[in-house]
Amino acid sequence: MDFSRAKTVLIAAFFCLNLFLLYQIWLEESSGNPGLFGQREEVSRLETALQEASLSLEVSLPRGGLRAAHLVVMPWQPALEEVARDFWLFLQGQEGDEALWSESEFHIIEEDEHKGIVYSWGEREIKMKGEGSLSFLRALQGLSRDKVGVAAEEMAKEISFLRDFVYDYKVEAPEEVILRYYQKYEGFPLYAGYLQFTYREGADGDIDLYRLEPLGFAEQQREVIPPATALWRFLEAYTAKQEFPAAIIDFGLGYYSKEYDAQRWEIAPVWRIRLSNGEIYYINAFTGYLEN
Amino acid sequence: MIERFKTILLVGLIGLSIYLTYLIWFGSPYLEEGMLPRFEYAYFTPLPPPELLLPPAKAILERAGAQEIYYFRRGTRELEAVWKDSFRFLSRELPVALGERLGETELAKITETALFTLQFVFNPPLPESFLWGRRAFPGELSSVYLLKGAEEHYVLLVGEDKVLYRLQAEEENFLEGALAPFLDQQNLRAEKLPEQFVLQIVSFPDGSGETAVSLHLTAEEAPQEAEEAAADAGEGTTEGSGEEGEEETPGGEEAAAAAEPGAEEESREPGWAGDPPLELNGAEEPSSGTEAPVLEQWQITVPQPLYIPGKLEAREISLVQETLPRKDLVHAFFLDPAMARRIEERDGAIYYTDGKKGLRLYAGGALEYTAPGLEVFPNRLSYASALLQAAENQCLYGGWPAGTFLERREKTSAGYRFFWRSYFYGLPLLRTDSSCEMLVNDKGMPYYRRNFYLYAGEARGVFLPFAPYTHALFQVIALHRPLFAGEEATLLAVEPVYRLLRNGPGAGLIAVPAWKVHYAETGPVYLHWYTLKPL
Repeated sequence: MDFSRAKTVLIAAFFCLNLFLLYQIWLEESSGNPGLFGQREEVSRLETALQEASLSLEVSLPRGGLRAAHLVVMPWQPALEEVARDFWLFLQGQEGDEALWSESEFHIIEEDEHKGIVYSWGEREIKMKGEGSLSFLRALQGLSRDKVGVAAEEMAKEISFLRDFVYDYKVEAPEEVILRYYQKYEGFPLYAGYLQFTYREGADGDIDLYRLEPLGFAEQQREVIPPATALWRFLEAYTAKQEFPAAIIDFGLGYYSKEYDAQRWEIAPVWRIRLSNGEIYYINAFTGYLEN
Repeated sequence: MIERFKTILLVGLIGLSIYLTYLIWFGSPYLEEGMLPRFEYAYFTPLPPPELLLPPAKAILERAGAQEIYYFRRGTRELEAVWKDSFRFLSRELPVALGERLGETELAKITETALFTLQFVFNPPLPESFLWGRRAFPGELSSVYLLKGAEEHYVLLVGEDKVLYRLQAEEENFLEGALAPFLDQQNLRAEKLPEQFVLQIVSFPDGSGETAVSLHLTAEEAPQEAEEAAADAGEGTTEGSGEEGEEETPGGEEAAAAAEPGAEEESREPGWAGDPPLELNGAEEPSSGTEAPVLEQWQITVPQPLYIPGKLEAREISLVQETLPRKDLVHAFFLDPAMARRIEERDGAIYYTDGKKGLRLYAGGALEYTAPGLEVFPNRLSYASALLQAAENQCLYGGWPAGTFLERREKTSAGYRFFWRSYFYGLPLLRTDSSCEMLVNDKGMPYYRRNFYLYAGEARGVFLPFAPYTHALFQVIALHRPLFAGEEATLLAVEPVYRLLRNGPGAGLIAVPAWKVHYAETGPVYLHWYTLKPL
C-alpha cells in the first residue's frame, strides 16, 4: 500500500471539507443565524413560540452580524414663526405669497407648563411642548381622503425641514387615516423623529412633527444582537398579554428613544417590530431590553 | 521529512474539520453570554469590618448605681474603640456562654444591683447573627448590655426577647479593662434627665436695681434632691460668676430677651457645668440661702431616657458636596458602559440609561439610580442579608465615606430601605434629607440616592462651648410660647448636632453646631450652639 499517496488524497479531501465547512459558517454568520443544525432547531423553537403568542411572521428576518454605535442627537429648535410660515406657504399653494404672511396672525394664545405653548395661526393652532414636539391643529383643510397621501408626499418633498422624512406606514380606519413618516439619518431610520398626518372624515386634519438634530455617531461601535435574539426578547415581553392573533409585518433596524426635554442625548440602535394590530415594539439592539 | 510533514498536516486538518463541524452543529455562543465575563466589581472603598457595618448609635456606662454616667456618642473614637473590643469579646464568649430567659423581676434585680452597666443602643437594630457570626440567628437586637454584678458577669441581649448570658469566670475583668482608659475622661461624663423635672426661671435683684433671671432644673419627684440641685446650682453660679465678668456673649442676649423682655444683656459661664444658672445683666445671684421669687415654673416630662453629653466644644466647619469620578461610577452601575446611553439634561445633570436602569448624576455631585425592573413584592431577603448587601453596594457604588453611619431602616413590602447620615466630630449632620438612601431586596437594588457632604478641610472660627442645655430648653419655650398649653411641656429630644446651612448664594456650605431641642408641642427646633439664636 502506498501510504504516501493515501495521505496526499486524505489531505486534499479534508482540505476541501474544511473549505466547505468554513463557507457554511460564513454564510450563517452573515445571515445572523446561529448555525446550520442549530438554526433549524432555533427556527422550530421560534415558530412554536410565535404560535403560542398568536403571532405569525410575515416578513423575513433581516441579516445580522451588524455593528453600530449610539447616535448623538439634540432637539431641533427652530424659529417657530418660520416653521409656521413654511407650512402656510405650502398650504396656500399657488396663491401663497410670502408678502401675505401676516405676522400679526401668529401669536401666543396659551402658555402652560404641562401643555406647552399654543400659538394661534389664523384658524389653525400650533402647540409646542417642552421636549420639542409640534402639533399643527386643523392644518389639513379641505382635503379628501384619497388626496391626503399625495399632499403629505408633496409636503415632505417641498418643505425644507421635512426632506429627511421618509414614508413609513399608513393606518386606515373608517373615520381616520394616519400617515406616518420617520426621520432618516445616514441611511438609518431614526424612528424617534416622526412626521404624522392625521386625516379625519368631515373634519380638519392635524400634522404632528418631532424632529431631531443628529450630531453624529458615537465613537465606539459594537455588534448588535441578531434579529432572532431580538425576536426572542420581544416574545418574552409580548407573550402573556395578547388574546387576538396578529402578524409581524415589519422588522427593521433603526434608532429610537423617548422624547426627552434635554440638551443632547445618545440614542441606541433598536430592532423595531411592527404588528398588524398597530402595536410597535422597540428592542434595544445592544442590550435586548424592550424600550418603553 | 516530507512524510512527517504530511502526517502533521493531515492530523491538523482532521482536527480543524472536527472543530468546524462542532461550530456548525452547536453555533457560536450568544452575544449576551459572551459579555458576562466583562463585568468586574471595582469597589470605591473596602467593605467595613462586620463590627463597623452597624456600630451602636450610642453607649451608656453607668457606675455605682447610676451615680456616674458616661456617654459614648456615635462617630467618636471612644465609642468605636469600646465597641470593637466588646464585639470581639461578645463574638468569642457568647457561643460558650449559658443563655437563659429570666422573668422581669429577676432581670430587674440583676440590672439594678449591677456595679457596672454598659449599654450599647442600636438604631437601627443589630442583626443578632452579626454577633454570633452565624446566620442561624434571625433576631434583631435593640440593645446589648454588659453587666458586672457583685459575683458574676452577664451579657443581656434585648430584642423581641431578653436573653441573659452568664459569662465564664476568666472573662470577668473584660469590662473594667476595656473601659479603664475612658473612666477619667471628663468629656464622656453625662447627665440623665429625670422623667419629670421643673425648669424654674428665678428673678432676683441685681446691684443696679434691675431684675436678673436664673434657670434651675429640679427633679420633681425628689424634693430633697431638688433642693440639693438648687444649692449646687447656687454654688456653681458663685464659682462661675468670677469668670463670667470677663466674657460677654452676644447670643445669650437672645435668650435673655426671650426670657425677660426687660433684660438687656447676659453674661454667663462659658463652659458646660451640668446645671448652671443663667445670669443676666452681669448680676450676681443671691447666695443659696436667699429665696428668690420664681417668675416661671415649667413642668417638663421626659417620656424616654435622655442623656446630655458632658463638656462639649465645637466650631463651624465648611463642607463641600462629594463628587465622584463619573467614568468609574458609570462602570460600577452598568454591566458594560458602552451599553449605557448618555442624556445631557437641561439642568446640567447627566443621565445614563440602558433601557432597564437609569443613573442620574446631578451637576452638584449627587446621584440617583433607579432600576424599576428589580422591584419585587413581597421581598424575601432577610434583614441581615439586606444589610450586608446594602453595605457592599455602598462600597461598590461610590464608597463608604468616613464618618458615615447607617441611621435608619424601613422594612417595606418592596424590601429594606436604608438611610445613612454623616457625622462630624461625633455630631450628626442634620439636613432636610438623609445623606444617602438605598432600597435593597432579593432581586438587587432598585433605588439608590447619594448626596454626601464632606469636610472641606477648613474650620471656621474657634472652638466654643455649647451653651447649657437648660438655657436651650428655655429658649425654645420662649421662642414658641403660644404653642404650649400652660407651663407644661413634653421633651422628646435634646442633643448636640451639626446643622447644614448654605452660606449665602454661591458661597458654599457650612455646618453650624446646634442644640436640637424637640418638644412634642413644637417639633424639632435648632439653636446656635453658643448664642442660642434659632437656626
